[in-house]
Amino acid sequence: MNQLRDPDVIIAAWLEDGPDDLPAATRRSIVVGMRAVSRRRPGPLPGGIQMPSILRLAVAAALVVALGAITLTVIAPRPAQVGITGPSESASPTAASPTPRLIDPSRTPSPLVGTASTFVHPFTYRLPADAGLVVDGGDPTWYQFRVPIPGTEHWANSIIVRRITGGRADPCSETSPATLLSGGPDAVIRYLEHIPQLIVTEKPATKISGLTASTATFTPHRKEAACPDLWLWAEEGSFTQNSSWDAIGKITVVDVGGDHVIFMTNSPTVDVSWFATAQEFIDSVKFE
Amino acid sequence: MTVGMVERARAGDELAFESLVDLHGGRCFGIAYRILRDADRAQDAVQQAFLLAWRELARLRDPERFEVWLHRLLVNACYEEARQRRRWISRVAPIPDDGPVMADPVVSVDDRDALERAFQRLTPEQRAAFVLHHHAGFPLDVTAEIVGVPVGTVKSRIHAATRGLRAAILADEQIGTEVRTA
Repeated sequence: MNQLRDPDVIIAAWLEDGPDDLPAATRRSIVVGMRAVSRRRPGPLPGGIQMPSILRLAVAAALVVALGAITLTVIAPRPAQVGITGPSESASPTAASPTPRLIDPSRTPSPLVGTASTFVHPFTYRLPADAGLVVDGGDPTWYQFRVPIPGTEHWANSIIVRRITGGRADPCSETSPATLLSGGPDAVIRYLEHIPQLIVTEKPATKISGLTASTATFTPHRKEAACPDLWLWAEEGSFTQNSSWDAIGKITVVDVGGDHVIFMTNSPTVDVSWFATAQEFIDSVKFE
Repeated sequence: MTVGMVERARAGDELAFESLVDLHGGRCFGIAYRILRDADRAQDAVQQAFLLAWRELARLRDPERFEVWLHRLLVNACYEEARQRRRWISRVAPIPDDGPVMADPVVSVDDRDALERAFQRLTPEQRAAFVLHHHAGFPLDVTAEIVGVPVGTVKSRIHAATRGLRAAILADEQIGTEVRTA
């Protein structure tokens, strides 16, 4: 007799089947390793601590950048929006929330200047001073820069950098087949223009890191039962789930080595100040 | 209790940190094992996460966020493990160091094989979201905080993982039916 079984029950049982005790050997390795690890301090590193050479290089690089910033601040004329100042505590990528820097501190040698070295097309960037942006996760296909709201687990604004491989035949469907977006950056903007649920405006051409880029502002509209959410890219993630149907999005598309790399940000209102900050970040990007 | 231990460990108390290892180590190992499906690599990931936690603990401003912070280090370590050594090994049954594990009778050997293969086809990010939510029991918003992506993305990853695993079970069942009726 063929008895139907509930796949979810089988999956749950399979998932629970496994070890839940730390092996004694691992515990010993951790305890032994603790003695060999130089601990970070919240303030300057005191003398006498033995740092690995790569960490010494990272610290030296950070000091050079910091000294340069101080010199510029003291010597150079100070236009209102350009001065480089130290980031606030909450803005520092070295703050409590862990970032890729914890895995490899050399990736972002200073709070303001960093390298997305694990991205498929590595790039350097400069975080706009006083914007409160932190590096908040990244992998070969995306990097995320966010502005955390102090004292909460939420964030105010974000900039996502992604390598996309295409759009969706039906952007209203999470399970829709992908569609190739052949051509340069304009192909991505044209794809957005053909989505009935988006209004696409302001499409100036620009250059990022010396590469031709296309930009656009877009606003989702016409939320309806047949289209509860918008899935813009072949890759995972819904624009309207991650922001909302009321958000105003800005996208910059650049062709890097034949790949479409997008910079996306959004705001619930026309936040000129935030969009200017995001643009300052995007303009600082240099692909290696 | 944890907050006090975190504060003492942050001040350099090694015994307090060892207590944190004892308190959270088993759960971390269970999560890492289920993400990586490999006991050796899970041990490496847990070790890396705890040593990073020890090194960086002085910079953790809010001791109450230790657990989320530690799990985020763990997930990042799992990602590193998954990407550095893409040598997925299908295991019919887990082989932990400490004691045998009883296989659940609900899951047949065929089911287990099908699920292991399907799980290996998922991305590390999908595996992590699925394990943190469904095995470790973290709510979606906490899972999102741990993996550092919006809640919507976490939902999407869990959905994709669930879909892939269900499909594997159903396909396996279909093959079994065909064999029996042939």
